[in-house]
Amino acid sequence: MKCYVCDYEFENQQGICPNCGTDNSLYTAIIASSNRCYNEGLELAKVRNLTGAATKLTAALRFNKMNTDARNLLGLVYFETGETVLAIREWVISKNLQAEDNDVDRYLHEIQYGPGLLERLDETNRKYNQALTYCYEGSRDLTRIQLKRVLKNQPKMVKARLLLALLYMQDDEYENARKELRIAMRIDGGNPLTVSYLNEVNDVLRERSEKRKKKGDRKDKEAVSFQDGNDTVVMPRQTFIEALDASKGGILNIIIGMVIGLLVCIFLIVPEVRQRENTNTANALVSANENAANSATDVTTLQQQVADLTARLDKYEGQSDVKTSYESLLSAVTAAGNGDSETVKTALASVNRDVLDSSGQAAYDSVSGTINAAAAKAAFDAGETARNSGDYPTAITQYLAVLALDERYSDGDALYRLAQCYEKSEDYANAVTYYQKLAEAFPDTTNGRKAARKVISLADKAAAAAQNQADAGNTAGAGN
Amino acid sequence: MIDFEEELKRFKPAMEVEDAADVIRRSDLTDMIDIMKKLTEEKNTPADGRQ
Repeated sequence: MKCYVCDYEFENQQGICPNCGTDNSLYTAIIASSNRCYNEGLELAKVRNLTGAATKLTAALRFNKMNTDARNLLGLVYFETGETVLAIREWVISKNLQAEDNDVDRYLHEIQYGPGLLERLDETNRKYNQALTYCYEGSRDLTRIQLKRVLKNQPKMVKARLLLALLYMQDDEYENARKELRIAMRIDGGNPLTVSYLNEVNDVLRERSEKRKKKGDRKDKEAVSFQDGNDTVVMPRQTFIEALDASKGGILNIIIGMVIGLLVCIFLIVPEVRQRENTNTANALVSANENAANSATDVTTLQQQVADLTARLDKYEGQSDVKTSYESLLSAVTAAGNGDSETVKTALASVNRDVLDSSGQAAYDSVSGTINAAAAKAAFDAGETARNSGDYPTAITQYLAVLALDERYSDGDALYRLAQCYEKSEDYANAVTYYQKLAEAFPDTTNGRKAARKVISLADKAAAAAQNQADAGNTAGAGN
Repeated sequence: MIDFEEELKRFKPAMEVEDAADVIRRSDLTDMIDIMKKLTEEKNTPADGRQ
């Protein structure tokens, strides 16, 4: 040990300094007391009795101000309960008394260099002081608001919680007061004010609970309270039956409303919906009918197209395609060169003139013209022979064949001869017909003028013949 | 029963950081060892100041 007077280090059990002779036994006892108080303070701090710990640690420092551990711990206890300035005081003093090898360096560094920590703590203290001012002035609502802000920044500020609990108790909000006091107890279980207030609150609440049970007074029922932002909402607790009793009128109104709604639905909405559905259905039906009509039109059009195409196809049926047509034309040309008119006729019958190109058609026309001319001449000559011999039916056949090949054969001679044959055969109707044709086709020729006169002269005979034929037909019908 | 006004008096304003220097300066750091040292010095010093 070191002598407290001359700092001489010695090992004397009795405590007498061999250097200066000072009795260090009392000094030793004081040091021991300080350490004992520190240990007790430490134990109290561990069980969260911070007020008790502060007391013990302060005592330890009263014995020995150089007890650095006690001073550092005291600073921590102050800091934990929101006493920032007291904590800083202890730590600064500790640093001054023991500059080297001191754990307080860490705390001071945290305070000094923690981002905005010191400013925030200072701001909190200022707000607390402002709240206290409001409270002294009687503005309890403002005090509450301010205290809640303080506790939001510094939740462990015990005195702020105690003040808030006091306000709640004053306003008969013992449940809220109890909540705050319980939190304060968790921070510092040894704070006498906290214990005192909590006991008061518990007593009051217990008393009220017992009164409620004894009287069974439902009016004095427990209220339900909850926080809504900065406001505390308190509502009477009701059972379901009570709520129903209280709201019988409301339920009746609800039922009436539902009935009215139902009637409105039935008489207004449902018919409207049905009407709309019917309209939609009708529109759909009309649309379907239009589609059907369009389809029918399409079908008719398509059928017409089919008929047209069929008709066009029929023209080509039996007709050769392009290759066959050209082959047949070639055969016809060859046969024409050989003078084989029969082969030419047969070949030309297989030619489809429409599929030929212009030169092919020209060749066709040339060959057919040649053949037709020859055939027509042959038929005309045969007709002349038959007419001259009085065989008018044969002559008529030959002249008709000529006209089939060429209606204007020999400037209407075939027509004239045919008409004469019919006249000679007393077939005045056909005679008039062919005389008429001749007159119309060749009005400026001799035969044409003759034919015109014949038409007039034979008109009566033709009419009479027609009448006789008609009478003969009626008589035959009546006989049957 | 808790008297609000009486209880309110227990609540003192919190110290602000700018007051910390003044608080530290005013701190009384006298402990029992200082007292004992003083007593020892007084004991060793006669009343007339002679040693």
